[in-house]
Amino acid sequence: MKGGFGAQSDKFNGAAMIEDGLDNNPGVSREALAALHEGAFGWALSLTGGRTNAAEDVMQQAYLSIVDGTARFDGHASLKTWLYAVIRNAARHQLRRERLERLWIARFGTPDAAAEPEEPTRGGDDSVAVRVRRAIRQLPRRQRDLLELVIDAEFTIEQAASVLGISLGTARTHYHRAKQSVRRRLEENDE
Amino acid sequence: MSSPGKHGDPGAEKLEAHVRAHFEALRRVSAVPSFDSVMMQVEAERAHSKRKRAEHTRAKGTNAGIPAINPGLRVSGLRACALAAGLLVVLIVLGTDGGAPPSESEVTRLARLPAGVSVSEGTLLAELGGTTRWRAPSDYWPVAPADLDVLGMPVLGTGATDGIEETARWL
Repeated sequence: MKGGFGAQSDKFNGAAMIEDGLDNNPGVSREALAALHEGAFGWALSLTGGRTNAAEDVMQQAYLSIVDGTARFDGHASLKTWLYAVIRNAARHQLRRERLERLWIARFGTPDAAAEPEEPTRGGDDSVAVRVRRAIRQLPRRQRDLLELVIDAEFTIEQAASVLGISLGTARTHYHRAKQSVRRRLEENDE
Repeated sequence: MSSPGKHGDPGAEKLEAHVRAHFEALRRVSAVPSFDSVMMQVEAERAHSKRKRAEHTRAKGTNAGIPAINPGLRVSGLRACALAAGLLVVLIVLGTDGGAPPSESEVTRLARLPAGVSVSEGTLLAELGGTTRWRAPSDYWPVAPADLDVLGMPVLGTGATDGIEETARWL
């Protein structure tokens, strides 16, 4: 998704340079980012297992990489697709760092400190929402991400594949399996 | 934009509705920080990084307070370590060449043992007091043959006989 820094013109490696574009990312404006912020935060929340603080850190890292030009929008994909991919990369770095910290603490710190952070729980009854949540949580990571990107964030499967960095065929397969899996679990509970 | 349930499958539409509701609920429970507040943190982080970089550059420039005598020769810490490591490798490689103990025939030659006297016999004889005649073979371990200076030592004649008894007559 990174583009080179070409000569200044009305185009920035394919992305139109906009009037209020960021200094290091002329094809991206604060307003455009602000419009996508809420949905993007939901994506970060999903990537970090529902942990608000971790999701905020991820968003901060993602925006930092956009503002300082580390992640450059080159116009080959839509701004939303590109932004979600940047957030995904930031989440991966964040989670890797957290894993290393936990390993370090497990080795040298107190046992309690090394415990995996639990996902916040919501609700306790056996409502449909709870069953759906359980069904989605049991999905493999990739299938869960695809469901969210296609159904909730309203990406096409091709765009979702681009966000996740996988091929279109793989995305289609996993998306189909995810839907089947959730549907089957919901129907099992209905019986 | 895809509409996965648009082919009239009520089951698929119901599924989509459930999935959508799930992710919306996830966002509702967590307070979404405002875009402006996150961007303020981003700008603060950038300003902090910029300050740290400037401080680091200043510190590097003065070599931690000591003015560089010749800025052109200044080498960064990392490069200096790499140079030192490279030199060390070269020295080790050069130093290991010939560092192996000499072979028995080499010792025999260097110690100028009489013909027929083996290294072990020569060692024994040296221990018995024959060191004035030739260098004790044990002198050659672990020193490399190239380091030894055996010039000037009297060369024993070639009349040495076999066996230690005959050799002892040389003493």
